[in-house]
Amino acid sequence: MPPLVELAGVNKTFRRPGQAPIHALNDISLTMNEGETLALIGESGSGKSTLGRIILRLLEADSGTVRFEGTDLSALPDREMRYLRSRLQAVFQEPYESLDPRLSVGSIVAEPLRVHEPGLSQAELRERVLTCLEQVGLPPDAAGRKPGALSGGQQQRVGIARAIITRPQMIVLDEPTSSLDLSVRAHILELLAELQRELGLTYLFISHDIHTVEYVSSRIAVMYLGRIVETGTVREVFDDPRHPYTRALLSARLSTDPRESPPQLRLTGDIAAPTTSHHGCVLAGRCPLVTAECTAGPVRPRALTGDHEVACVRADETPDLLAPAVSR
Amino acid sequence: MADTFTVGGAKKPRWSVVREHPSAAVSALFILVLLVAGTVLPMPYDPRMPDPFATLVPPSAEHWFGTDSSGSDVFSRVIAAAQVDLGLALGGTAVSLLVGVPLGLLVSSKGAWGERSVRALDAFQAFPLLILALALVSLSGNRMSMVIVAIALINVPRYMRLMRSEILALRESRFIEAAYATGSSRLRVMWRHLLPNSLGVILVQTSLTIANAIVIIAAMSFVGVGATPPTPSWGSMIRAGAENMAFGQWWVAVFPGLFVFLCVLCFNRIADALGDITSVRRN
Repeated sequence: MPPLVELAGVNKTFRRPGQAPIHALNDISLTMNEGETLALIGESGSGKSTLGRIILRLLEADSGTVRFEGTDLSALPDREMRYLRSRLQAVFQEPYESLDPRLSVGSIVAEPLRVHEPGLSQAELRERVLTCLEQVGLPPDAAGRKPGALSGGQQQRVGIARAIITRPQMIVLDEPTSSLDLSVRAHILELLAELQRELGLTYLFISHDIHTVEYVSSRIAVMYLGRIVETGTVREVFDDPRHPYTRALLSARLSTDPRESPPQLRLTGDIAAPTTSHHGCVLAGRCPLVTAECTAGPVRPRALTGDHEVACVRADETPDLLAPAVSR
Repeated sequence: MADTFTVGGAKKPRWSVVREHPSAAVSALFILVLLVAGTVLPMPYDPRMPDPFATLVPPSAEHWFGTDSSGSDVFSRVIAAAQVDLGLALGGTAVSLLVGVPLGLLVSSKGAWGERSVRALDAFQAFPLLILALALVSLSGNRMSMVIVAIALINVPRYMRLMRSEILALRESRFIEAAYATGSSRLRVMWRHLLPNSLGVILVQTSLTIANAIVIIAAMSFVGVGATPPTPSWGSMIRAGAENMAFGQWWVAVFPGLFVFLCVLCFNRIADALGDITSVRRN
C-alpha cells in the first residue's frame, strides 16, 4: 500500500526584510502510513509546527514535495486543495483561540459541513452536528453555547468535533493537549485514541512532551533545528535511541520505576539560533561524541534495522559510547 | 447570520442590556426624542417666525430658552435645528460607513498593494480635511448634499484605516487559520469570520463618527457654510448669539451650544456601551 503522506526534500526558510533568514525546515523526508499515529517530537523552535502547517498547506514549502494520497499538494490549484481539506483536517494547540468567539459551538462544528456538503438541509446539518458532538463527549446543549462558556477541555472537544465531522482520513494534531490540565489531557488523549479506532484515522501528533508521545504514538520522528534526526517505532526509539539528541531528550524523561536509572546524556551549551546555517550535523556544536566527520558535510538519515533511521555518523557506535554514562 | 444552534435560553433578554448600560439607554432615548420632537411634538412658537416686539427676551415661562435678536423663540429653534444637524450627521456617517467599510476591506490585503493604499491615505489625511470640506460646500453654493459628501470625505479614510488594522490583526488569529484549514475560501472567511468579528469596532466607530460629524456641521454653519439662516442650525445660532454674549444675553448662544455638547456626550456614551456589549467575554 502506498503511504498516505509522503514528504521528500522539504525545505522552508522564513525571510524577513532586514533580518537574518530563519531556516525552519531543512531537507525533510517523511512517510506516514494509513491508520498510524506518527509523533513529531522536538523542543519549541525545532520546526515541528511548521512541518504540520506545510502538510496542511497552510504554509508553502520552498522546495520539495508533499504528497497526500499520492497527490502533490503544492501543485494543486487552490480550489482543489479546499476540496481535499475535507480529508485532511487539523486540531490546534490553543483550543479557545482556534474557535471563532462569536459563533455558537454548533455553528463552529457545522462550518466544515457547510463548506464541503453545501447541499445538506438544516435538519440534516443539525443531525450531523449533534451526532458529532456526542461522539466527542459533549452534551447536546453545548451546541447553543459560545466557546467562551466552555472549559478548556470542552473547547478542545469542539476543535476535535470540527476536525472529524467531514470524516477525514488524516488529522494533524498540533500539540492538542499541551495547554490543558493533566487530568483533562488524559481524557482528550483517550478520546483521540477512541476516534482513531472507530474512524480509522491517521494522526500526525505534534508534541514536545515525551510522556504523551510514548503513550499515543506508533512511530516517532525526532526533530532538532529543522531537521529530522531520528525516526522509528516507539520501541525502537525509546528503547534504543541512537542519535545523541534523542538520548539527551530521553534523559530528561523520568521513569515510574525508581530502580531504573535513565540513560544519562548531557548536551553542552544551548540550542543554536535558527538563523545559523549548518554545513554538517546540526548538533555538532553541542554533542559530546563529535568527530571531524560530523562537520565535514551534511549528515543524512540512514536506515539501521527495521524502520529505524538515524542522522548521525556514529549511530552504530552510540550505544557503546554512551554505555559508561548509563552506569554512572 | 442565522444561527440554527442558538437555543432559547442562551440569548439574554433585551432589557438586561438597558439595565447594564443606563446612561447609554438614556442617551439613545434623548437622541430619538430630539430627532422626532420637531415634527411630532407641538412647538410653542414657529422657529422661523421673527417677533419684532419680543427680541432678546431672557428665559422665562413664556420663552423657555428666551428669544434671539430677531425675536425668534430659541427653544423652538434649538429643537428644529436638531433635525437638520442630526439628519446631516447621520446621513454623512451612513455614507462614510457604506463607502469606508468595503474600501477598508479592499485595502486590508497583506501585500504591497495594501501598504501603498495606506500611504495614499496618509497623504490624503495630511491635508486639512475640514478646510477641504468647507471649500467643497461653499463652492457648491451651500448645497446640503455637499455637507454629507464633506462628512464622508473626512470619515471614509478613518473607516478604511480602522478596517485595515482590525482585519490585519484578526487575520493572525488562530481561528482564521483554522477556518482556512477546514477548507473555507477567502470570501467565506471574510463574511463568516472577519466581518462579524470587526462589527463591534465598526459600531463604536460609527457612534463616534456621528458625534464628530455633529461638531463639524456646527463648525461649518458657525462660519456660514452649510445650514445657514433662515434654516435653523446649532452652529449658526451660536454664531448669531456670540454677538449678544458681550451684552450679557447668554441664552442665545448657550442653549444651542449645550445641545451640541449633549448630543456629542450621548453618542460617546452609546459608543462606550456598544464597545462593552460587542466585546466577547471569556467565561
